[in-house]
Formats: sequence, structure tokens, C-alpha cells
Amino acid sequence: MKKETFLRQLCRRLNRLKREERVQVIESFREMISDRIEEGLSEEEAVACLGTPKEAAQEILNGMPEEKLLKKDRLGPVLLILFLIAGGLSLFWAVRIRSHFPASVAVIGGADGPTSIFVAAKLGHAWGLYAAAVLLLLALAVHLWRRSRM
Amino acid sequence: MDIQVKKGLLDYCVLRVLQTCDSYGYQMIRDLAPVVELSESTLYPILRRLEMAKEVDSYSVEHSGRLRRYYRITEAGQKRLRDFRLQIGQIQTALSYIQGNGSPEEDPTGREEP
Repeated sequence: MKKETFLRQLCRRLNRLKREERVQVIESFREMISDRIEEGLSEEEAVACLGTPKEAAQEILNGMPEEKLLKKDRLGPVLLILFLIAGGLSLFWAVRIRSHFPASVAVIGGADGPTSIFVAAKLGHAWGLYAAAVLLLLALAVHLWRRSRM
Repeated sequence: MDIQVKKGLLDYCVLRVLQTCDSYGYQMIRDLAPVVELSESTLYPILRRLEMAKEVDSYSVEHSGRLRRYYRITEAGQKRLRDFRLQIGQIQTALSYIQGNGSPEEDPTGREEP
């Protein structure tokens, strides 16, 4: 196996490590492979000394202190459910509005200042749509916030 | 070697090898080879933990166009090693007890076989 292939696979298997920690592990392994090559081994032989990426990753994860690991993802599934509920709600209300208030849709298009308030009042029936929009925005915000932290 | 025992000893092996001189990953593995079998994947977390405990620190040195990370034992690391050395007598007593063949006259706990 080539050095870069090994390092890429190792990196993928270390996804439970925090990102900056993962980078350091990869750098350290890159160094140790280079040291072996410098000693006269071929690239393949040097990589073979480290075992398979799977074994190496297992060993590293076993030894790493708890605080260097990412917390078990409990928020992910919650976000997904939130997305699904929001999607379902908006679909449901879109269908209802189309069948029950076909006129109101047309009115929104032409609504200006005072009329728009009137329309909004009528659309008060569509609370589900608002709820769905809020849920969607909330889920999106949490998702973005989490990604920026990783 | 038994995995639990080995785990406990490796920290001290690493600290000891760094007491001789500052060293980098592959050199430590090579230097410790006659003493204990140590792989890259085992060594890395050990160094990381020792570093977090401030028992070692590290610095980079350029070596043939790339960076090499050297580790150095700190005063806290020296102290941990000294403290451990004081306990070696006790550990040796326990080890020779375990090693004994279990005949009652050799048993220092004085227990008779039932």
C-alpha cells in the first residue's frame, strides 16, 4: 500500500477523533513512515510495518484520552426527525391551502400594506406552515452551528 | 505481555527513554525494541497523554526537508519517573510472589493449603 493511501484510510477511520487531533495523528504517522523509508525500506514495506489502517485506528482510538474523542452524536437523529416533521407539515398544509383556500393564494400575490394584514389574518389557519418554517430554520441553524464547531 | 500490565509500564518506558535524550517517534520505537514491543499506534496515544499531563513537551526540528517532532521530558515527567522508581521494590515483591510455585512453605502470606 502507498503511503498516501494508508494515511487517507487511517484518517477516515479516525473520524471519532476531533479534527485537529486527527491532523496531528496523520502528521505523526507520515513522519514515522518517512523515517522508515530513510532507513532503507521501500514505501510499501514501511507502510506494512504499521499494520492495516483498521488495526492502527483501533489501537489509537483505544489509547486516546476521552476528551480527545468526539461526543457520541445524539443531536443528529433529532435534527433529522425535526426536518422530517417540518417537511411533512409544510406538505400537508400546502395541500390543504390549495384545496380549501384557492383564493387566498391569489390574494397574497397582490397584497400590499393594509391588505396584507387582512390576508395574514385569514391565513392564521395556516399555523402549521409557520410552525414548519420555524422548525426548518431552527434545524438549519443548529446544523450550521454544529458544523462550524467541528 | 499482558495488555493491562504492559499499558501501565509503557508510560515509564517512554519517560525513561526520553530521560536519556530528546527523541522522536521512530527512534523511541527502535530504542525500546530490545525492552518492549511497541508499535506506532500504541506509542502515539501515550505521547499525547504524557504531553497533556505536561510530563513531556515537544518541538519541531527540520530534517531533510520535512519536520520532525522531538519530545522532551519535563520536570513533572522526571518526578513521575522518580516516584515510580521508589515503588519498584514493592512491585518486585508482588511479582516474585506471583511467580512462586505456590507450595505452602514458600508462601510468605503464611497461609496453609486447605
